[in-house]
Amino acid sequence: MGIMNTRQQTKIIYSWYGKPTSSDRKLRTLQYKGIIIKSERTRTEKCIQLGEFVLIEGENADRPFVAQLLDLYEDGAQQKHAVVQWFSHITEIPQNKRKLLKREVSCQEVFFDQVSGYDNDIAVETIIESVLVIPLHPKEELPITLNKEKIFYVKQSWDGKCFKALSSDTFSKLKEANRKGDGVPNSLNSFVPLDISSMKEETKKVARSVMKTKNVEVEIESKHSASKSSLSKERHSQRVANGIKTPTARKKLQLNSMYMAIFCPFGFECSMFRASSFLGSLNSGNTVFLASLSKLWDYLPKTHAISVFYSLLNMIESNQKEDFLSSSDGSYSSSSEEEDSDVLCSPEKRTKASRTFSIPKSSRKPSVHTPAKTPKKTSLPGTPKTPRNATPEIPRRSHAAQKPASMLEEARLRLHVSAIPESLPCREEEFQDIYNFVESKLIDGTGGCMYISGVPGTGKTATVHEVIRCLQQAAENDDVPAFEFIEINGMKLTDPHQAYVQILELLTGQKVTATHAATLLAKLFCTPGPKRKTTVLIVDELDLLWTRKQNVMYNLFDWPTQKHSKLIILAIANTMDLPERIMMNRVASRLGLTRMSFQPYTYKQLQQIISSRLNSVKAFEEDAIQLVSRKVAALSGDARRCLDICRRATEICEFASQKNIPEIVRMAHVTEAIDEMFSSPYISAIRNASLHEQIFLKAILAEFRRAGVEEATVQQVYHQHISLCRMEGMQSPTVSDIMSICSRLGACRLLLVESSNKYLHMRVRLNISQDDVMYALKDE
Amino acid sequence: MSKRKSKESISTNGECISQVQKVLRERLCYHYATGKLFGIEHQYRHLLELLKRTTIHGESNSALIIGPRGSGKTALLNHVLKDLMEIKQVKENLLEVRLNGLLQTNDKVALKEITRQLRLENVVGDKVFGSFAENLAFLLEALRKGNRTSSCPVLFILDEFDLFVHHKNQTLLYNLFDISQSAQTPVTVIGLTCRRDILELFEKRVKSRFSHRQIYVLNSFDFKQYVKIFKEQLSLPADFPDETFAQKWNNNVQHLSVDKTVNDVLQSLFHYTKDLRSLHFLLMLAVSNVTVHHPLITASDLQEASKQYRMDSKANIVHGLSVLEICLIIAMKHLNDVYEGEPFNFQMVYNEFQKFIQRKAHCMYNFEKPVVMKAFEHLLQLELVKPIEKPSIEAALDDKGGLRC
Repeated sequence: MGIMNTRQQTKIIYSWYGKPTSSDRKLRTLQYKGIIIKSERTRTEKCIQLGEFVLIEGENADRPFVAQLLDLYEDGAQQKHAVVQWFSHITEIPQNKRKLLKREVSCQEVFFDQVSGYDNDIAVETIIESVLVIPLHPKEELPITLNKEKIFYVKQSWDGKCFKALSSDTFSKLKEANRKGDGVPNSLNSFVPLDISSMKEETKKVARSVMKTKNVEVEIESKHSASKSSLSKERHSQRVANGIKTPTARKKLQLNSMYMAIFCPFGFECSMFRASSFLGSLNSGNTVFLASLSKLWDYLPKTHAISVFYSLLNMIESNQKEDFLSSSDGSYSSSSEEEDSDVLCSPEKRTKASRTFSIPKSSRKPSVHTPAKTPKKTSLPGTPKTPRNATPEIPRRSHAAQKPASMLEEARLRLHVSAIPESLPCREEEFQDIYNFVESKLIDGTGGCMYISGVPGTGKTATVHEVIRCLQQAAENDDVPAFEFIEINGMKLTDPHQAYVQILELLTGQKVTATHAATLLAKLFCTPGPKRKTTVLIVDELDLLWTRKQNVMYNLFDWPTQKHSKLIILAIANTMDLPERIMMNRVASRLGLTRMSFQPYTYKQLQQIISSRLNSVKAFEEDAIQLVSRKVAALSGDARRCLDICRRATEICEFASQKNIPEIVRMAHVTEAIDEMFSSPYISAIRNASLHEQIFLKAILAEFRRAGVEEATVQQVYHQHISLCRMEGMQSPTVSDIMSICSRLGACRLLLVESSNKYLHMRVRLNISQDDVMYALKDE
Repeated sequence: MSKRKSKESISTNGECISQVQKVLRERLCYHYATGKLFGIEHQYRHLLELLKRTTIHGESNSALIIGPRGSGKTALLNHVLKDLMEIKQVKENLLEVRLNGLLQTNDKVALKEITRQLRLENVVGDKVFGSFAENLAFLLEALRKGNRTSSCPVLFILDEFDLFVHHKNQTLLYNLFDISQSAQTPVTVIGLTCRRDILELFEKRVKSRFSHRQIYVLNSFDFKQYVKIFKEQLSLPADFPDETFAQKWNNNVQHLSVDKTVNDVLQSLFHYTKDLRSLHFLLMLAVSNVTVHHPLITASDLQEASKQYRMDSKANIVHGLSVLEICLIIAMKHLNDVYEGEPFNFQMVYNEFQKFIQRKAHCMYNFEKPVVMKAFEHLLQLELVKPIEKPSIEAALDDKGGLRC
């Protein structure tokens, strides 16, 4: 398999066309006028020259970008670069802006891209192939062409805000470029419709008919180069496979290429595939034969191979026609299933595929494709998976929620932690620091990390969200470059490695396994990615991403340091010295020293927070607010606690004034709320315990005093208990009673009790101080 | 003629009795809201207001109901829910999810159960598919999409709440509390637990997100109220079909409540434990004695029930032992006293037994050693004697109370 990988890696070779046209001494660059893309497998060479239009690999292999080559150069480090003018596909334009167009856009239409944020210097290796982009006047209809994959039309330009008609200057330039370019695929006036969606049916028909009638046409068509989408996908699958060493991924690669073969309908590999699958389905005796065949395939030039295969097929077909038909169907269904599980496909395609090829499972069983080589996919047939397109949603309520009727209700609504205040008071400084950090990175187009710490409830997450909200607004006003914002939370992941999955899903919408996601993300952030906005990633509850090898944290903080990553990470956790405490040196050093800690709120700040939330609603006495703030500031400085107490106080107030007289929250209400939340529950628990339970506690105290150790067995306590009962003149309880009393007190955690299998030898300790017990029992 | 009449009265009586059994058993056995609440009116109002606000205003909340076992936490909640459901606006607007710490032993199982009870779209039939991570992401996404005014409030009831605290990272609790403190689908999380130190078990981030509402259910009544509860729990309701019988029954209960013996029984139970579940259990035993020929509860019934209920289990086992086994126990007790609780082995017990036989040979047959060994093994099986966790075969006397009889 390893050999195969390297073979595939070297399959596409990029080299310069001609001599360097000019060179720059200072920058040590050499400029060229064209590039040759040589594919080793198909033995074809393509030359793309300056000014031509090309497809560029994107984050999602389904949607390559369209661009025009403006410049080609090699830098001092011998890296090949290209400078491009981007075109935007309709899917790249934000959903809310699409309606500005006020018309339906065909999938063939692109927009001349004038958005400033994108990097137009890309690596040459990301170029897939050349296409045609034809400028049209706004009123013109799109001409109907057959080759939908290779021709795009441009009518308008897009600058991130609005659509404009093409200026006459650009129009003529584009026109010019088209005239000049002749590297456009030879299939421009193609006679075969190459619509992706109809392709499968097409192939299927061919699969059935071709073998019988042996149309001459097929041979002609098979010389066709593979369609664009399959090409880009192929590259994608290679990339994916290259980084992965697990057997499942390798399997995927093989199956993928199998599927590729099917996908280019009249392609050469297709017939090859059919032949081999056919042979495979015959019987096992033919395997030797097949092996020699596949060797042959490697050495022979294409045209030869075809004829060999056809003669072969001819030979065998005569006696096993029926068998072949069924097996070819089988091969179809399994490959379409493969595609099904391939996340790169759009939903429409998927449904179509599953509809068209719903063949009973049994027919899939015979391993049709490449026998003895491809292991069967391990997924159990028959286990229904989560419906893919299930939308997560809670049912809507049937009655409208009531509006707050009174002042207290209004206050309560404003005081709820979930209510988003107009501004975040008392965190102005921190806000400004974070804002400046992110803004500067955005403007520079670089990456970076920031670590934010602070005890719970000090407004870390709220402040960061506020920063993002402001930046998003600024981006809309064009003050900073546009960026993408995603967020993960360590507590909302089941496993640290799920972080990759979530990030990838939020970025591109793909759903893959954790290891796969890690490679995809590494590829995304580490290769000079073309046309990507800066990503701002918030990692909340960072400490939960800790693993033994710390590779999740390492990767997260390593990516921003990569040259092309454009990734800004804001990591949030509770402890200030987290990097020193739990991180390895190499992780901590990548996190860097940009740190910020949120101090617990002081009582003045808490007071300000409450007042600003209440705004104009006069529901609280000034003193009451101050009492709450002082109390909470002394305990923890947690703003959530503060708000919760206030909310409870409004309830108590409402409760106390039943007679519809509007009242405001006073000291007494607040005091009651505080008592309710912070009072020790143990004293009241002891006071409300039954008599024997109380005597048992007294007996424990007596036993502790006698033995001088704060631990006793039930047996010892029992003796004390009996003597206490005699003193009081009460009936003494039985052993069973004592055991159940003891376990009851243990369940409330008034006592700490050993596991109960030791019966009377079970050791008992108090869970509260002896003084508390005495205090609680004395007042009786 | 008179014979026939008496027969008729018996048959009506029979129906009456079965009615009585039905009414009272329902009241005593289920903690559904058929009975009444005693001494927790304040808590009841607090919880009712809380849930009302959730359903009607869409306000998110979290609260814990804390109280010793058998104090009526679940009964309180069920009462509140029953009364809430009578409001039409609430009935159609509330989704309920019930979890139990003893059933949902980890977050994975709990999540599946939540998804199943909410009937989200990834539920196929009655089963939830997908990995743990997928389920969590799906549920969180579902809850995030909602908002205060438009989505249906969800009530999470976590029974045996303290067991959820031990789940890995407290992921479930963090997420539930986090949702209750952010502008998402309105949720109210109610936890039921008997542990008073529950707040100390929270992780600091989880603790910060919990609203610190604690509703304490304490058995805070004195003996007078206890007798009143006894009377009310035993009385037949006003809508009982046979009025004359109900009258008779209620009068009898009134008499019982002032009876000296009954009061003694109740007093001793009250001193032993204050929780109402024990009282219900006692009454249940007494009520089962009611038959056609014995239509009314008597004081002796209650006394008998109390005796049954508060039986000393170990002493009971000792009662059923053979003479040899009792001799062995006495020998062991002797050893225990001599060596101050040090462990002993069979040989020591046998020697002690031999000594005893020699002293009182006239009344005791000298058993052979294998027979004594067998008896010793029987005691081991009854767990009156326990082997010590060492490789040796030493054993320690476990029983103390048994020797008093």
